[in-house]
Amino acid sequence: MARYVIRRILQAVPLLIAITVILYYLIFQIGSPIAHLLQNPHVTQQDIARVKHLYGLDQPLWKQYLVWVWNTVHGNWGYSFVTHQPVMTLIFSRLGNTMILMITAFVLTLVIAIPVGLISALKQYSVFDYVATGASFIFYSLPVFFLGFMLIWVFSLQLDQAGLPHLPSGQMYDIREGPSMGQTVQHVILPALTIALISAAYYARYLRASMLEVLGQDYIRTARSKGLRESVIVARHALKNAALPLVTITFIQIAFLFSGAVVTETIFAWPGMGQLFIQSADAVDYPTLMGILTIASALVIIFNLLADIAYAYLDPRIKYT
Amino acid sequence: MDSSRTEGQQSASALQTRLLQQETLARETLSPWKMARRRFLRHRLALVSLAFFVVLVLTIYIWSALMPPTAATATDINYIQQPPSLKHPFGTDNAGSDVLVRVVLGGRVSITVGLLAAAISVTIGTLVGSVSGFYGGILDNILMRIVDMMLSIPLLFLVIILAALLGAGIRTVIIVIGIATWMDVSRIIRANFLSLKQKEFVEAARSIGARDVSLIFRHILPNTIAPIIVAATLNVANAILLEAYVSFLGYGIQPPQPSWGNMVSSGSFLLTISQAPWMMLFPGLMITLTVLAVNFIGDGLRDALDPHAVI
Repeated sequence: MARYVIRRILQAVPLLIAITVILYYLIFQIGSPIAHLLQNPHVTQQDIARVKHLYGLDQPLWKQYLVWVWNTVHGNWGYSFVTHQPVMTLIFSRLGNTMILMITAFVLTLVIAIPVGLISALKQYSVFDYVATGASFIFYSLPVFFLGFMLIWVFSLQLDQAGLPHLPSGQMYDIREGPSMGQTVQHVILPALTIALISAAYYARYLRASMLEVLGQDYIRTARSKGLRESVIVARHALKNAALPLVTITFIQIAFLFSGAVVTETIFAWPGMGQLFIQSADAVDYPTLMGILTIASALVIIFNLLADIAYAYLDPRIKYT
Repeated sequence: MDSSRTEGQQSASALQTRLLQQETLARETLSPWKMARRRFLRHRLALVSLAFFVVLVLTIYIWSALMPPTAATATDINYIQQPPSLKHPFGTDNAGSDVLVRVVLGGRVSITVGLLAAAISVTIGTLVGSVSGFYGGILDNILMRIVDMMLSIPLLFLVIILAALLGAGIRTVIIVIGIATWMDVSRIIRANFLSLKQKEFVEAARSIGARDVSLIFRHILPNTIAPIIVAATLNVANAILLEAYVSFLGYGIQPPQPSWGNMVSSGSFLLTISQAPWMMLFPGLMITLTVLAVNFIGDGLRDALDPHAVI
């Protein structure tokens, strides 16, 4: 097991390096971060040459990449071309907000999906099961942004027009109130619900299938014939095993959550990594783009690794070498 | 829906056993394709969805072909943000254009992108998967590390970087989505090739002198057609969604050319949502219904073609 983990970690490092090489190359093909200077007739050739030299843009690309790697490894992620803040400060100020959104969304997902998936499996072919399966198909097919706007329309605008208490439609806090815990909680509900409803649809379907498979196993019949209460059978014997594939999905879902966050943060003006990514892509702010993409890819690789390790740890039938 | 699935599975295995018994005795037994067709026809939701999708696509393509080329941007400033009425069944937008007309024209763009992007991703995925699974060794290793790499970059990040790189427009959106979504298909095909290439029929074909190309494309690939069809269907649904996301974020189809994604986007300002919710409601509903239908078709095809698969 230890050897397996070490081997997987050793494989992950070159994977991440290869990803950064390709992304670095691609991002530099998008355009120049100083394009606005090149078009300005008041900026002389000398000025452009000076700015290029300042940012190291006059160097060959491979040299720039190596400098970037060296600096990144040493904790200097460069400076944003837009805000001129250090990229690391910029990203970490946003990463926390994205985490708040993701963790809330994840908790909501489980709160919705586990009961729905369980009841669907235990009462297979009941009215509840049909409604839940139908709903999960519909939510699974909804575009994230469409669901987000529907929620804004109903829970912010319609309730507001009706003079009822309503949820805020964007940002992390009301400018008149200032940032606070209570404000964040109020503002996170709609974006988190948007992500959660869609990923809960996915989870509930998996949990249902997985529970049905486990409930048909011989050891469940043994437990029943021993006279155990159904609640004990479901909670202690079935759910534990049925949750196993969910652990893997959970870790793998992190990549989906990132993609979902890009759209959701744009809709709800949530100041997170996804929003920062779109802003940086619009401005070809390559140090920030590289920072975001490297962190996001690294997180995906780490979570995939954790998924495999967790699976091997939880299921002793699996032997890894 | 699920009851028919289990029944389908049971009768499928019953059919298979019967097929095996009768194979040597009689010739009028069901071919695998006929069996699959029977199972698919029993899947009512998939059947309804298929009918809906075909009617939708035909309506959209024929109707938009009949429209004048300026229809998408034809405006009437006296009728800005009008709610749905007999004259404008889906209402009008900020510029006074008819939302129904734009939904039809945008639908042609979105569906075309969905179908062609899925075609590209399935083609690349099939080629990479077959070569990787058939040859194995270093080639397999390299190709699968590329797959790992592309799967490690969150999909929307990858798509937006590629879209920013290649520029906006229908053609680039199709290519970008195609080259960003082939990885899952290649893994499925590779896994199929790994087990199929050990089979006796491949050995037999090789022994009579079949070349690699013929082994891959004439002997092994036809046996993986079932997972390819299922993956292709689900990829169409995902490509339609992805086009909507990319256009929504401003990197896909550019207004005034309509696509369902950018139509939702242009109706999505707080003021527009409260004053003219139909601007985002109708294109949004069309995306949902289309994706839902394609997902149901995919589900039905999976049950029909691969009775042993779970979810």
